[in-house]
Amino acid sequence: MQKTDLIEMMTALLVDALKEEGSDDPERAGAGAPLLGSDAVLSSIGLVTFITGVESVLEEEYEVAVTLVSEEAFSRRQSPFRTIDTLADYILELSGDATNDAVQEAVSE
Amino acid sequence: MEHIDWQLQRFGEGADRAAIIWRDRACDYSELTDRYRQWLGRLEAAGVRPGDSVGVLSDFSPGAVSCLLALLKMRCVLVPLAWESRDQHQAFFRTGELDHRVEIDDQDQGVVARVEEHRRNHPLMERLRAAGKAGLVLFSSGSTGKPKAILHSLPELLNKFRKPRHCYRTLTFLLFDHIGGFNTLFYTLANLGCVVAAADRSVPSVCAVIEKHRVELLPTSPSFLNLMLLSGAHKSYDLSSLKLISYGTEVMPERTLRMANAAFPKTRFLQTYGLSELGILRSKSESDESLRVRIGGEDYETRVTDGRLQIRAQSSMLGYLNAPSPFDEDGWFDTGDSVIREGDYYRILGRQSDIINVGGQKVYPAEVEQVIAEMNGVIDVSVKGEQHLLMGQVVTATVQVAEPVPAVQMRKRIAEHCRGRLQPFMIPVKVKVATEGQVNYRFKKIRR
Repeated sequence: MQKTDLIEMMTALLVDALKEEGSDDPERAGAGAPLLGSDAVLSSIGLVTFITGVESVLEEEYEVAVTLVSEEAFSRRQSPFRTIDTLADYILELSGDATNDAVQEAVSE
Repeated sequence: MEHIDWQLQRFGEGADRAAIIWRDRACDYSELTDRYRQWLGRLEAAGVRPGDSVGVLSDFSPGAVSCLLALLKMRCVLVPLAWESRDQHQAFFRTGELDHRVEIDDQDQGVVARVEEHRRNHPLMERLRAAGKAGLVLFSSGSTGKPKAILHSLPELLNKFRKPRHCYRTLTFLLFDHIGGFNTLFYTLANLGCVVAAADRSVPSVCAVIEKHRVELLPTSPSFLNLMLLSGAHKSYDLSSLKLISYGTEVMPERTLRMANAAFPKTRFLQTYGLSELGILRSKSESDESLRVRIGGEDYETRVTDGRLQIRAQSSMLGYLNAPSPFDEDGWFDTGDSVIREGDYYRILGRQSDIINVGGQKVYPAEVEQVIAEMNGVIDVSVKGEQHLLMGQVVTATVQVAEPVPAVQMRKRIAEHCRGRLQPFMIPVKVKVATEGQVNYRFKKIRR
């Protein structure tokens, strides 16, 4: 599981989520699009739907079962749900692939 | 003295105090009184008569509040409606036997229109008119998915507000088509507090309003607190004006309460309890950190039967306009909430029934199932709630379909179908596709 794949997958889901909320501006669905705070692109129920969608795709397409919204996520100093980019890092960390990626990068270097 | 006359006398005592802050503009009690008088004239000129049922479609603006007060004076039946439930308004007009409809726009300008075709024969409404009392109709969802119309007699419902209580600058989290919002409004006005209207219920909007207008009381739900804590918004805004956070409408998770107390060490926390059918009870939490709560007040008696909380209230509704009376012969109402009694305190465990509570908003599975079952290719569907850290619960659906479809795609199709037919929080966030194991297995292989 590569970070770029995750970002691509989540961007597509975010475009869908924005459409579901009636947004006509899918341009807002970038890796850096704010998911929390005053500029958040989705409503709270939209965010929950999006995160659940990410979990479902991870399970269906990557066979990775993770729970993204957890006490662990709450207790972080910085929320992993800030952007798609930070969420991708969090998924890699949870699925244990972060270390694999680091090893791969080290090998390819 | 009638409540409205008592209330107007109170307004006179605090004429120059801010009553409502709406769109960052303050309306004081003397302006509110002036606007109330204007509304009396306007409503009479539009042909509104005592006993008429009048829908008011608006948010928490000075115009809307003064209109409600004028309707109270005219002993009309108030039917407050929110824009969010617009799809259901036609049905609400019929059930509420609406004679007139007042629509207040975002400039706070109102239009009064007569509702042409309507019936006017419900015995409870007739009883209210014969007694010469003002009424209130609130809509809640019914267990079959059909919203129930709850009729209150207003003098009884408002009576408790005459006893002086703390006066706060209060954010209106719920609108007045909800018993919580209605209660907040009349509590605040009775104590010459100030109602601060939030533009919407998103965390940043609410925090910005608290900071800007130095809000002291935030009545909210555990889900909102969760979202606020997760986003860290409480750190980016100055929320030091908050003296009290009251929470209700759903069960508070212990963890959320603990975290909220840590985030707001100087703020008191109070659990509230109420139902559309009975009004909001007086409550006292054992402590800021405790989920144990004493509920009751002068107008309420409580008891536990079969582990469920039952309440008898002097101010309970007259009844439903479209459903049988839920009261037993002695006037007790079964709340359906499981509770544990510990001395003087109750611990509320949650609904015993299968109602799904998404961030304080109730979802009846049957209502969602009916809509999904309309879809082509859907053989069967069952909807249930699933625990969720952010929203308390979320709606999930298991569908049996004729042709196998990946769950992610199916959810998308269901969401498309439900949009416009259901409110956003009712749409399943997660969908499982139930087919035979073999098909499922094959299907997964194809996708890989």
